[in-house]
Amino acid sequence: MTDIALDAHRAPRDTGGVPALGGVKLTLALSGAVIVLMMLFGLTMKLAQGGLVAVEPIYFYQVMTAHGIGMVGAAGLTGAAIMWFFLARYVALTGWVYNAMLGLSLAGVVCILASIFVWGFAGAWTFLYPLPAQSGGVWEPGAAAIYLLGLMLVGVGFLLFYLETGRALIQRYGSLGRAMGWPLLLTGEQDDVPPPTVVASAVVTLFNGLGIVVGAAVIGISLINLYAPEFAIDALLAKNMIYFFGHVFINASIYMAVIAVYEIIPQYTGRPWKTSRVFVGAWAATLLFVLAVYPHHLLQDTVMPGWAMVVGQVVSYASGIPLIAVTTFSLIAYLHRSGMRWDLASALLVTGVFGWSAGSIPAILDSMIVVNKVMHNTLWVPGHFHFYLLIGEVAMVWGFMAWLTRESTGERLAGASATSYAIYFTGGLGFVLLFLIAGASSVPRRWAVHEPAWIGIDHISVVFAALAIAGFAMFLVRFVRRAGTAP
Amino acid sequence: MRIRPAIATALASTVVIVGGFLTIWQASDGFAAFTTETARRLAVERAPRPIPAVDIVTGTGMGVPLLSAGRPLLVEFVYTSCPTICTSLGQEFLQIQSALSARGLVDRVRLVSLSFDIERDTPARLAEYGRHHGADPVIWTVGRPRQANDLARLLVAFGVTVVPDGEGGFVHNAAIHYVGADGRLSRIFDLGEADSILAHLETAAP
Amino acid sequence: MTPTRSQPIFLAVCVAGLVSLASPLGRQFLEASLVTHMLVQMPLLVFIGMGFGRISSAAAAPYVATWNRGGSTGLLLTLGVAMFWMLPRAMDAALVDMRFEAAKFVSLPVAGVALAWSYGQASPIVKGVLNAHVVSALGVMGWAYMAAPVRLCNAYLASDQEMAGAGLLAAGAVTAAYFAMRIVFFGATRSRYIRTSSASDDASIVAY
Repeated sequence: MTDIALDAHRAPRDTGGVPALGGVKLTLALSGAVIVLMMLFGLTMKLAQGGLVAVEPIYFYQVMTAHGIGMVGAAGLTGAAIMWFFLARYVALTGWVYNAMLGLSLAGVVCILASIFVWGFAGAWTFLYPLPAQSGGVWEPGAAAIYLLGLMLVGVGFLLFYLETGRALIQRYGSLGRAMGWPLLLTGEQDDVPPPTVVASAVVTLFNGLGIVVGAAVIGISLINLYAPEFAIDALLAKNMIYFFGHVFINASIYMAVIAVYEIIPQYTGRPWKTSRVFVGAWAATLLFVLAVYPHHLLQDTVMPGWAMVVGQVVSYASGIPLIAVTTFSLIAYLHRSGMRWDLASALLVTGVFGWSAGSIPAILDSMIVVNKVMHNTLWVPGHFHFYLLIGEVAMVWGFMAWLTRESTGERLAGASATSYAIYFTGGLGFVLLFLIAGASSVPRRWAVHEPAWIGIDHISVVFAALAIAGFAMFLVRFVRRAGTAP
Repeated sequence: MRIRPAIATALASTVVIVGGFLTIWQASDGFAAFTTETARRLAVERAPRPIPAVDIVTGTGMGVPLLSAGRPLLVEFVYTSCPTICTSLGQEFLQIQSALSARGLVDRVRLVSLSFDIERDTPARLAEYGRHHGADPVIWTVGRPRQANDLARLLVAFGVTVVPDGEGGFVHNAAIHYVGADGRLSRIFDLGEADSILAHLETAAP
Repeated sequence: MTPTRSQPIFLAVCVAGLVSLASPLGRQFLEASLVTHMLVQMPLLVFIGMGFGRISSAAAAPYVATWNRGGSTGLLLTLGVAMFWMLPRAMDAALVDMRFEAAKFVSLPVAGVALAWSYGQASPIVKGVLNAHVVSALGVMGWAYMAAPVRLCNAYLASDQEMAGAGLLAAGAVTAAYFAMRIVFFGATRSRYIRTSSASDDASIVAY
């Protein structure tokens, strides 16, 4: 792999072959296709809200459910692909585990799609109690059960994935604490300091492993409740568990994708991304914050204990700082006067860090209780997560894909790649800003039918959304053509 | 013996899986009954159980037979000092009693509130319990077994478990038991299923 | 466990534990409440079995290794026994039917032996899946015992049931914290895996 050869100053371990490289590429191609399809679903929702296409509310909510779970799944899978690819440079991973994860995830996707489009489940991807069980006759409990079963399959797949990365990290570094670089943080020990990829992978392995176990428990509880409704679910407990799991999982996808920035940007700048004490400290703080931050989803649940709300607000406020700030400032420092060559991959990776940081600003605003009270049920919230997923996670993944298929080797940001990047970035940024504007104008989220006053924003959103989709789809076609031949 | 460990283990594991599945299948009546209470209900529906023909003491102090030939019974287990579930059981019986009177089905069935607290539930207290819940003696009998031996036989036959709650009261499976005209326990209903009970009486009784 | 001088003492402790649990007094004491029955007596029976298993695993290895590669047979047996005794009616039956009670005092220690003979043989992935399963199953069970609208066991009070549910949840939380601490600070899985994988290779050579 010539890219790696260029990178002789790091490459601590010869990547003679990433185990399950075929699986990694397949993940990227399939997830890319899923992302395009889910973007089209998103476009459909905007068209419906704008009154341009007639969609029955019942189908609107099916599409919304599929869009949500499809995007979360695609983000998780692409993040996992990036983490696997780069972690294999440092530790010995076993290929079949990755392929098992992919297989289980695909089986889960089949269940989930069938539950939605064959059996009509439309309870939103978060399956909040009591919706799955009490649909008012819109879908049978069986549909919800198949949806939950699909989620369980995906969860088992990811559990295997993290068990394998955890095993390999422990085998190489002795414990996850050492792999997270804690000896450096606590005692300044310079011996065998783990590279950034290892630190990030160890932290994600730990917190997402915990998230998945909680997710499995709440899915188990929901399944029992579907068939034995007399086993009542405490709605507040279920919401806590679901948001713990959901928030951790979607955060993990970005924290895994950012590994591509740590590994690829140094090739352009010629400056290795170092594991500093601050870096390790930021990741250690992230571990704590990711686990503790989810209560900001429950700020409107007045029955939650006061201290949990305070934790939610304070941690949300603080959580952006360590990692995003450290990554962003490091990136700026590494880029400064590096004479970096700008091509599709490097432009996208830098865009990804921008999208991630900028997208967290509306999130931090929303986590202030006074703002949350009026904003949480508006399009502001989807605005923030579309920002850091569409301009952040997707850009990082796309940058990785571009790098992987060697669009980066010598290819300037010109021609088709420049066009696809430009229309994606214009469309994506316009689209997410309109979400935020609509939220600031108090347009509610999750409404199938919009008031006439809101429709103008929807119409402009449709145009931007179409641009973003076209840009990403153009690239994806070229990726799939090249992926077979690239090393 | 030379047997490849992979095959041997696959065999042994399969035996364990199949054996475990069959054991749990058997122990849960085919995954239908995970609790003793569900199992009891399923068992009497599949194979109705004969109820011993004992005499019970009523509020008048007289002994009457628990079973009456040709007339089905609805039996609930109570104790008169019970502050909670037995009150609900009493209300349920009152509701059934009124419905039966309204439909002219009084001769179709007898209601029996059977106390298992044979030490404390004197005839006077049984009579008071009946008055308090509006029992019409023609259709609704409040009584208790004459002696401990009879009580034990009844509890076993009905499958009722009585546990002292540590505060002078008892905890027991609350249900309404249908004993057919043949003297066999054949259905067990939950509290709150008065409608199903009435429907069952109309179809099952001769 | 390598043969040491402390082994006879360890064995004696396990035997004494089993005898006192099985004695009428021990049974009466622990079976009076659902909490002690489910959360003290039954786990202790498994732990005692694990103690016997540790002592005997080296001696048993030549005979069972062929049939228990990667520990799968033994782990499945343990899971099966655990699932059986999770049926509320099985616990009820143990209180009134001596055959069930005897089966409990045999099967749970046997499950412990199987666990001790097999866990070390399992691959880290299998161990991880098992550990994660135990944590989430404790959570689901704890919720189920607390949320059940009816008494699950006829022989026990509803308040007992709620306490048992809370106890299961606490056990789940403690177990999760234990596993998390272990991988963060000690990475015990690693060293044990390396040791036992070579041991199981030896065992399969013997079996050939």
